[in-house]
Amino acid sequence: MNWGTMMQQLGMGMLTTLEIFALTLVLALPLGLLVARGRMAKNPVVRGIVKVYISIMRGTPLMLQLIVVYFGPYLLFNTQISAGYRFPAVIIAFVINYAAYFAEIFRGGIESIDPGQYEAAQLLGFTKSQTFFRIILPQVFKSILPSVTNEIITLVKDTSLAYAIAVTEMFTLAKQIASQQASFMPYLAAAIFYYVFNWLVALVMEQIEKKMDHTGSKQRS
Amino acid sequence: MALLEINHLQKSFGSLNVLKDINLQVEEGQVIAVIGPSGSGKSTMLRCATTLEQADAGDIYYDGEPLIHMVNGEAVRADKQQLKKIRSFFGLVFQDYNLFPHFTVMRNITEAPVHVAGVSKEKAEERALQLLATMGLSGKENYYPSQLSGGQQQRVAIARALVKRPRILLLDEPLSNLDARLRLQTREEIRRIQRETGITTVFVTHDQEEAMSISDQIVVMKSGLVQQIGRPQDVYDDPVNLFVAKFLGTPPINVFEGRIENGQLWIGQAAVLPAPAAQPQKVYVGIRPEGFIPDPEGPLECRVHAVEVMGRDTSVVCSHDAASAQIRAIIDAENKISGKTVRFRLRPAKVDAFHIETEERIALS
Repeated sequence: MNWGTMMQQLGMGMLTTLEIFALTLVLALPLGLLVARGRMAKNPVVRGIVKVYISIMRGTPLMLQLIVVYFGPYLLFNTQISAGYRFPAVIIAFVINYAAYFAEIFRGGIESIDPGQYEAAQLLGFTKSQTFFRIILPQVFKSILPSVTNEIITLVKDTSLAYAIAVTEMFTLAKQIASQQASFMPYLAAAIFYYVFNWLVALVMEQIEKKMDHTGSKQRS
Repeated sequence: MALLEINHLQKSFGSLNVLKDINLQVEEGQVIAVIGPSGSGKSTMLRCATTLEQADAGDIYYDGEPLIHMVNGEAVRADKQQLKKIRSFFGLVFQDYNLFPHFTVMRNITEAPVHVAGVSKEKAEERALQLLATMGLSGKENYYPSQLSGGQQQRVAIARALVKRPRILLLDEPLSNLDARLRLQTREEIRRIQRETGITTVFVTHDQEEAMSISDQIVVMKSGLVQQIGRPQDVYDDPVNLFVAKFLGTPPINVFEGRIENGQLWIGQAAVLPAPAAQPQKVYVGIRPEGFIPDPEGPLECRVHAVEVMGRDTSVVCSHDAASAQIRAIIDAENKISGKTVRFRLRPAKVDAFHIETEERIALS
């Protein structure tokens, strides 16, 4: 197999990888915020349940969670698992896992906001939801950005775990091609792919961080 | 009707009674300073009056609108609608300003009018620009709070509080976060802004100099009780008790142990002033630094430790057996002090006697 054909095959996998990455991010971030609110809820039952959920998600390997989500329906209801369930299973497992991590990051960010910000907003007449979305959350985003960047970079690499339930993403294909061709090249291509991907992630996050930084001496005009 | 009226306000945190019985009336156009040492309850009072804390009992009325009031011994609190109305009545400037760091100066000021009061963005910005001009901050509208100095941030906070056109401006320790040089300047700025806008102003401070310099009335608090309310000079000249006398004035009042006997006020073996109206008893005698006049024939003899000439005035640091602390007398620089002792006669208006136990002031004549 020549280099071009290999890249073509790997390209299909890259697309799947990107899909897993994007869907996880888009779904896990809002869910994480919701979970964070639950984790800080006044109701002790809600708080307790959320705490246990986060503890399990963070305390067990993602690969194991993937397998549980994939085989869960069969084990619980004895239903036939179709091949079409593979990709949704990956997304579900990634989203509930990453939401737990994001939730803890959000919680830290929210708790670090000076209570004076809430008081100022309250006296200016903002409602609770206005206060949260206009005053608190933008500040939380700024303060948690470095931790979120870390998680996103980990997510890029974690997508390769989808191979555990034979979803044909980048790494799964690289492994297949490598064993067919008895060549190390697919692995090298995969490594370059993940590295470049993360380099781009870091670049984008750095730009966002710069944009949100109001502590510099530069003046916005 | 008073713009802000507080009656018998009480507030405890657990077993700690922070406010025991606070009474205060703020009339339209006044500048009132609430002063007291830390722990006197002044900030708690402000927080109760601004809805940030719930008082336990008592009345708070804003132009007749109750935030809390007592009905048959039960506290009745404002509902949501009333709270909204009350919050539009005052503007609070926080001690740490609590500006929104992710908004520009402009958005800090316009965010509430636009998203709470429904004012159009153009109108809100126009008003904000006017306010910024009053604050001396023209051209800073696109800065972020972190790009401004402490004094500038504070004026943004004042502008933010004033944008909703409140009837009372409340300031919590407005000068405490500023360095000494800025403090003096900001003090004058606040006074100027108050004069230009004519807004009724109440501010809380632990700095008596700051309070005396910018207020029409001062309210002196201690241990959750109002000690005295009055014009700064009146409170300084006629303190109701030893605490108030000690709290006001720099350098502080000099305190001696003395007694009233045969219609005279005595310090040690010296009859320093006539006291025809007072009963014979042991007293504390408070003498303001400016109450001492050097006089070779004067009754009060003190040991001189140091003479500090400071331009217009001379400060004499001395001691007396009846005073536990050092005495500081401020006299005209023309007086030359030499020798180990100095004799003073006293200005009657600058001398007060206080009950030895209650520490309340005793009329001498």
